[in-house]
Amino acid sequence: MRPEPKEKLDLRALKLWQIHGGIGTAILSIIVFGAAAALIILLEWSHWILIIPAVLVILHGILEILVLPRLRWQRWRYEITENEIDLQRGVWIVERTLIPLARVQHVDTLQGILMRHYDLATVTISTATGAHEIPALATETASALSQHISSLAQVSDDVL
Amino acid sequence: MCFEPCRLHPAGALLSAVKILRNSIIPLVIVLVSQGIQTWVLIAGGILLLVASGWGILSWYRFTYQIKDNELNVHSGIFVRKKTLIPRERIQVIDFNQGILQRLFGVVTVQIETAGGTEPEAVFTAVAKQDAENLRQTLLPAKPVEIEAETTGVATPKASKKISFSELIIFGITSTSGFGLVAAFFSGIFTLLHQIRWRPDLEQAYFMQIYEQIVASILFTLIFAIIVLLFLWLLAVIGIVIKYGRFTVTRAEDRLQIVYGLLERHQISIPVQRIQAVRFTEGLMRQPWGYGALKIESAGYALESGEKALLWPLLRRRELINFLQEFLPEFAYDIPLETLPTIARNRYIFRATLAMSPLALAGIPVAIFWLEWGWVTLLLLPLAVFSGWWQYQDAGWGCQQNMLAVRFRNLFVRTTVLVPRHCMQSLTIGHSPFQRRVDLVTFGLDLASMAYFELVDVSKQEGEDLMQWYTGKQSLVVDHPRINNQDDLE
Repeated sequence: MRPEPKEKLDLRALKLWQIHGGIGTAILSIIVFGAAAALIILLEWSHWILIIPAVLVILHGILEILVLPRLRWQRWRYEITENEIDLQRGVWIVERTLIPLARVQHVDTLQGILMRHYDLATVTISTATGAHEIPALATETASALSQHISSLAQVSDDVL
Repeated sequence: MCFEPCRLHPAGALLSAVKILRNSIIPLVIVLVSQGIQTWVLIAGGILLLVASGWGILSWYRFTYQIKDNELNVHSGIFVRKKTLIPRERIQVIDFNQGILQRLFGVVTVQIETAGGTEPEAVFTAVAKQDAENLRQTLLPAKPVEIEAETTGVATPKASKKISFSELIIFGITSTSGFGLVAAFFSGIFTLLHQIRWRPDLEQAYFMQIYEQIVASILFTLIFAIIVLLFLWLLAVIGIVIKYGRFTVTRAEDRLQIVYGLLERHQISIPVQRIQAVRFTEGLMRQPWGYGALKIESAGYALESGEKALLWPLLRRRELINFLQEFLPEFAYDIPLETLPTIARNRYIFRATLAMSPLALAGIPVAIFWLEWGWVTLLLLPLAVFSGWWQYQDAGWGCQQNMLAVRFRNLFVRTTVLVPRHCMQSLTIGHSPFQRRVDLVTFGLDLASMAYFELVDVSKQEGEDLMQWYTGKQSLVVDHPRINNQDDLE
């Protein structure tokens, strides 16, 4: 039995995801409450219709702020061994991906505005087919990691 | 040999003019049909002809290529000048194609491709055959074989095989386009029957005579349709014979060369090291007779179109291993396949039934409100059960040394894929809560040819074994050296 990857994401990632969830909930509430208000004012529907957007927003908020970010954070793990990158993620469907370092083409780090505020960065690992992400690492860890991966990948490349 | 800038064969001017005319033929026909032959239409046609030929000549004049300092240097474009530099060592594939017009002039279209990108880096529309051969010899020194496989070239091919006429005919008859015709035929019958049902006046006895006439005419139509169908099928077979006629595959050192086409001659040569996977596909019409088609997947090079990837059109399942040993020994592994655990069977059946049920159940309201026939859709359910069971039966995988074999079924086609470990870009093992309860996983792998293969419901233990094999150090081709300066990440 292969053990789980060792490293966890930065704890601040949890906060970041919760904020993302909050923003999403705010946008959703503007849309659904706006639609409900339009129905009430223009078509004179009953005020009770407001229950629907309220339930939607509350459910979305609970899921996206309280429940899912925590589950996601607890599940997310990664590890870079001498031969491969090992990723584990997923709340409902748990996925474990192995990427041999020899297959890595290049590594990027990426930082949004919010992420910069929290000093976080995302590492993107590209193979010939597509990209795999390690989201929300401390900027320092992220750049060290991408350096490390690309140096290892280069060595493997030379061998092939 | 074009160390000075040189032009294409003059036929290139004609070819590009013809191409422009061909692109404008549909608007031209529309104008002709709607307006009739009028003076201004003729004048416009004349102008178009002039512009096309002028453009053809100019673009031929502007197009020069040159081999200089180990680089292929291509200049082209009339208004927008384009210069392309391709370093010689980056050139991976040089393909020749020969259309009917090109055959007339004894020229070929040369496509030069590098590893990256999906489009050929340079296309020479008309190069004399001998020049093309020389060009390839200069740019890709490991010379494969002559363009016409019949003329024995300088190179001595290790193995070569040409399709026989009977094989070609069987290939044509069992091809899916024939199958599509049958499907179209049956849907035609259904619409006809449908129409009888919908004659509102049929109930009335005194229209019986008309009814009989209708039935007679339908019978006539049916017979006529069968004849038309047979004719269309024959046409499809002829089309395939023309397209894939004289299909020849040749293995010369580290290259595979595929040549086919009776009128338009296609020639593809692929370095073996760039082959990412081999697929053996057994269609509904071929599997019962033990036949299938063999295809290859290659990286970087645009091989999306099925026929380009075809390595051999018609192969018996039991001859597969022999064929591979002869032409592609790198992939010649006869890997015994592990089937899925029994517990997966009901899950396969359940998923197939679930996917089909909206369509099947839609028949109930249809039957209640419109058509008593609507119940027919319920027959889809046993079909779905059967297809789920079939998918379960055919699913399997196995590995041997550095080769992974995966077999799966998509409704009508059973596919067996052979992938070398070092071609797998990543391996993903996933499981949903339902799978976790019964200790099953799904594994997926992606290839540089942009293909993604997945096998659902493998036992968890086998998933672990697969991961072990993928990362395995026991029989890796290359031993990665240990890195001494491993930085501490934290």
